[in-house]
Amino acid sequence: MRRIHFILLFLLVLPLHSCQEEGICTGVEVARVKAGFYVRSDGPDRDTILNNVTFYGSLRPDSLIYDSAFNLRELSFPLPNDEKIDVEFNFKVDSLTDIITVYKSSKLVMESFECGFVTHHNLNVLVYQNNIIDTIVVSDPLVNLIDVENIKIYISPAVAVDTAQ
Amino acid sequence: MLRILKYTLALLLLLILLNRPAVGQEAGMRVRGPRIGVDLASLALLYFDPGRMTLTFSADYEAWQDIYPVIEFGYQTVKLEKDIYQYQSNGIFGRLGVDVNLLKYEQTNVYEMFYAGFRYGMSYFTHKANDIVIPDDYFEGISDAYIVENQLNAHWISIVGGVRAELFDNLFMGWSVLANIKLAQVKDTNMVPYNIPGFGKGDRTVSMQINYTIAYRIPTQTYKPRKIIKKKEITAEPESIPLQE
Repeated sequence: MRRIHFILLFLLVLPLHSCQEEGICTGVEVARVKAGFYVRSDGPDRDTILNNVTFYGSLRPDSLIYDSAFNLRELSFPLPNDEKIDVEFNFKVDSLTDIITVYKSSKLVMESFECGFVTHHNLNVLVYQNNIIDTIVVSDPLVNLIDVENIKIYISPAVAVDTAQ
Repeated sequence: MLRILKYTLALLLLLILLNRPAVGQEAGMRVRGPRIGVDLASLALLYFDPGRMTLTFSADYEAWQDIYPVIEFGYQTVKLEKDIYQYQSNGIFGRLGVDVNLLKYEQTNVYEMFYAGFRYGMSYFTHKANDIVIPDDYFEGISDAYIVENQLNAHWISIVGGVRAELFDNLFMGWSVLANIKLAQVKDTNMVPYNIPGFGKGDRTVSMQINYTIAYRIPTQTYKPRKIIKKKEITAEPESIPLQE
């Protein structure tokens, strides 16, 4: 085989080699719990919206995740990264308040070699009061970076202001 | 590992200097013996991937004419130091297979090869991460998390193609391309391996590799090769013989 064939073949296959490409991390993400608002009905459950919603971690009254929000269809909130198994949140609609306690387990997972690690959570149990909330159902206990609804919060009919179309 | 490579190359150089004419190189006889080599491509790839160092040795033997059982083995270390974590991996790998020389020469003492072959590969390695930093703008972030060392393994098959030329008596150089297909892997639920030793990227099922090998054959014996059948020369068509009634 002529020498030129060797060189051409080598150049052809060289880009196929499994070099580790150094990618770029476009941003550090945090896994968040996604919770939709629903109202039970005789037929299929209907999603609903809430007005004047305030939501924050019980140990962080200085930093509100939602501050008097209107037309809110869902909540999206983070969980602590440490191995502590429970965390409390204050859920306030108008003058009514419910304390939601989330019992969870957490695990470090590598998102990518460029961006590093992220904490994934598994929702074990949710304990709540019933001033605003009728019931909570865990639809997907795994909280990660995928945009999937984790819990359904069924609102008491007396509190639900409007029903989404 | 660099020290091992230096000593290996020094040993090869010593063998070249001590090289003597092939054992019993009589007319019509072919030399064979174990051929020991080292991959030089990994050194060049240090430029592209400085955190990963791989050392690969190979050994083959012309058990039958143009058929070479081969074994390859090596060692790999990975060390990544970033602001948000440190990652380490160490492991060994081995590949077992056979190469078949596709070139046919009339001369029996020509050892250049254009070959194809296959390998079965396996790797045993560990990896871990520490000093993991996870920022959080709401709850408290963490800065000293770690993932304990995990023992993993992987198995794959490879299709190989390459060329090899004899530069001097018993000294060979050549390159080869491997297409690896992963068969099985023990997985870590916390993180994907950065690189599986001997295979390639840890998150891939198929990978490609290039080796550039320098090898020395220790001539231990000669044998009489089988005859290479020459093609018949095309002659003029014979004249047709009329049928007798």
